[in-house]
Amino acid sequence: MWYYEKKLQYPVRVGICNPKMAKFLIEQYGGADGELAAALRYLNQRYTIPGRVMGLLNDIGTEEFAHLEMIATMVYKLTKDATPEQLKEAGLGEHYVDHGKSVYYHNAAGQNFSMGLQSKGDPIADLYEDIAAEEKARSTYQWIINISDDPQINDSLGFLREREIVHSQRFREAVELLKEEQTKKRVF
Amino acid sequence: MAEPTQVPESYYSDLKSLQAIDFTLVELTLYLDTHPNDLDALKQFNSTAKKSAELREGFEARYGPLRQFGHSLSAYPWQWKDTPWPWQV
Amino acid sequence: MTSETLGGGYINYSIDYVDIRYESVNNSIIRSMYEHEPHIKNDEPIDIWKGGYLLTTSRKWYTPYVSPFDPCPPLGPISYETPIQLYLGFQPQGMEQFSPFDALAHGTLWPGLYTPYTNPYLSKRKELTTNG
Repeated sequence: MWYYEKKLQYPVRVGICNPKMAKFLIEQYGGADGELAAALRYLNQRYTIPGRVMGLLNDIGTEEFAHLEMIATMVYKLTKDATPEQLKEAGLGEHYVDHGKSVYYHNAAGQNFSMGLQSKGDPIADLYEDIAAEEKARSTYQWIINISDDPQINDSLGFLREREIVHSQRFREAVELLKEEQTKKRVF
Repeated sequence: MAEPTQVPESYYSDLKSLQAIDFTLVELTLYLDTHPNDLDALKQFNSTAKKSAELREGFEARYGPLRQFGHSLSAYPWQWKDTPWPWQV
Repeated sequence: MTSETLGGGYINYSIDYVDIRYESVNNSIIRSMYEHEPHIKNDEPIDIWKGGYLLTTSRKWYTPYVSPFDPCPPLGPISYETPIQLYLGFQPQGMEQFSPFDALAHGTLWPGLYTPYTNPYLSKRKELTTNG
């Protein structure tokens, strides 16, 4: 089971009242390579991965929920004091009509979160998928940083981008662990 | 209607201290998942976990419970449901 | 490839994946090595070291083909990121660590896993004004 902790993993500050950023950030909330997709993918794959790397998938999957909460916090803060008129100007008119000010699991183009998650049941295929997913999420953060004018949001996004790098590193190590002969001891 | 009281300034710096210690624990956890035989990292994990527990206890005494389902104690009346939540501060 | 001449300076390098950047300024092509441009290096794509020598940088560049019939003016060199996890291999034990506060600020406990990112379009603009 899971326990909630009443704090964010990393402080989120939004420096500029620019609801347009919310439209971009939502990509990492409900997009194909977003944090929800990552969390669900790893927690789903963990059942059928060899025991040696089960814990890693479980823990990275859990951390992704903390990232999801950070993204939601940015979106919430950017939209909570916006008037319908401002939301319309920010390209969030359709969002507002459909969902009000609710945060919603869809991507930057407004497509609903898709459950087309990759989970093949083959350990190597799944871990390579996960490495690719981390690199894709890393690039999404780069694209958002490129388009953002808020240094404080970019600070949080920089943190999240670095986490993708660390996760990718760990998944690469997991592949190495699975390549190893079971009887052989790891030499550093 | 009056606006709910804001958290004191010290909340942010105290929170950050806890976030920093707990982040070290996240990193060590993932590292140990792929390096289970690194004894130094393991010792560091255990001592950091103790430090985190101390910090958390002090933080909760000042600002209310951080964990629930029985992992944090509560003063009367039930404090867990109190605002602000992390996305509000 | 073992050496390049750049602006009168002589640079020696021997690693195959050190990249050469082509840069289009005022229709003239300046060939330059990204590693040796300190003015765009402040806290930007970092050098990746292994075993005491420079492996590579964390940002690479390439220049797309420019057709005389392209509708828009060429944007110039395009960058992509090649962060540390592509080079590190299995993380060795005992790597140097950040303090807990610095770890939080950097998003990792290990300086050896930190690969910062900044908007490459900004550094390109900065560099154009510097090189003008």
